[in-house]
Amino acid sequence: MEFLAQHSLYVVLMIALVVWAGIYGYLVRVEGKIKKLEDQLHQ
Amino acid sequence: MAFRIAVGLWLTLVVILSLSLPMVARPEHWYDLPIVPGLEEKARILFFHVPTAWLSVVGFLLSLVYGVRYLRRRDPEDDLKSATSAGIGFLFCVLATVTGAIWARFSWGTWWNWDPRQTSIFVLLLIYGAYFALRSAIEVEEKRGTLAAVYAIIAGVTMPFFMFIMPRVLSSLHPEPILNTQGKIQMNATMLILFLSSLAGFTGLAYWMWRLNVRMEVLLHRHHGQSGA
Repeated sequence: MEFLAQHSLYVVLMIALVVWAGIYGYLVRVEGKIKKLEDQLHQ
Repeated sequence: MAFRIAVGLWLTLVVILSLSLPMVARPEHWYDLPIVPGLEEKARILFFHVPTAWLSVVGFLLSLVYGVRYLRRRDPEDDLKSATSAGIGFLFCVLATVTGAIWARFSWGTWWNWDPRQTSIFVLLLIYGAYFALRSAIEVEEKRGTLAAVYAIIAGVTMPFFMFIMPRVLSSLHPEPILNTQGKIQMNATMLILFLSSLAGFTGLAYWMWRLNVRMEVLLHRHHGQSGA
């Protein structure tokens, strides 16, 4: 805890990485769903 | 597939380097970033705030371009692209406002103080908020496309005034004019490369989001066309 208090930048880094991972995962999921719908429409 | 992996890896690297490279008074190693007088560690917001502001400009200008194309060709896909561009521009405009407010909280001691920069971006958000209200208020596709295209052109023309001119005409506490006599953040090569990499990465992310949105809107448009809605 003391390490994190002294190096708060790493806390910001971790939060930023978690947020980015969430956004990325969401976009990949949306792309998969759109692809599925496009394939269904073209069949 | 390769594009989204490249964007993912690129932006992950940008986030890690932006928030972990040391800031020192006299950079000696390739990985050292210079301390920006008056901003110190808070200068790291530069790697996130500026790309979001840049992408809001790009989004709004693309909305204008596709608006012009729609009026010339009357292709519904141009209308969808214009609306999607405005949406992406609006999203990044909100992100620029939020990241700016977070920075202001720690630099000025307050989230919001109606600085010319904040006021102009707020007006811009209102202008584009009205664009989406206009779109949702009209049901007839062709009429909606025409009016939205005209509005996107007018809004796109006023955008540079709010984004670039007004904040520079009025005195502002925004870092750019108050840092030094040149009004520029003096970056070393590492900081500049990281900054440009961030711009490129965010632009790639915005393009990916834009493509996804357009594909989804096209699907919805076809679905509505088939169901007669």
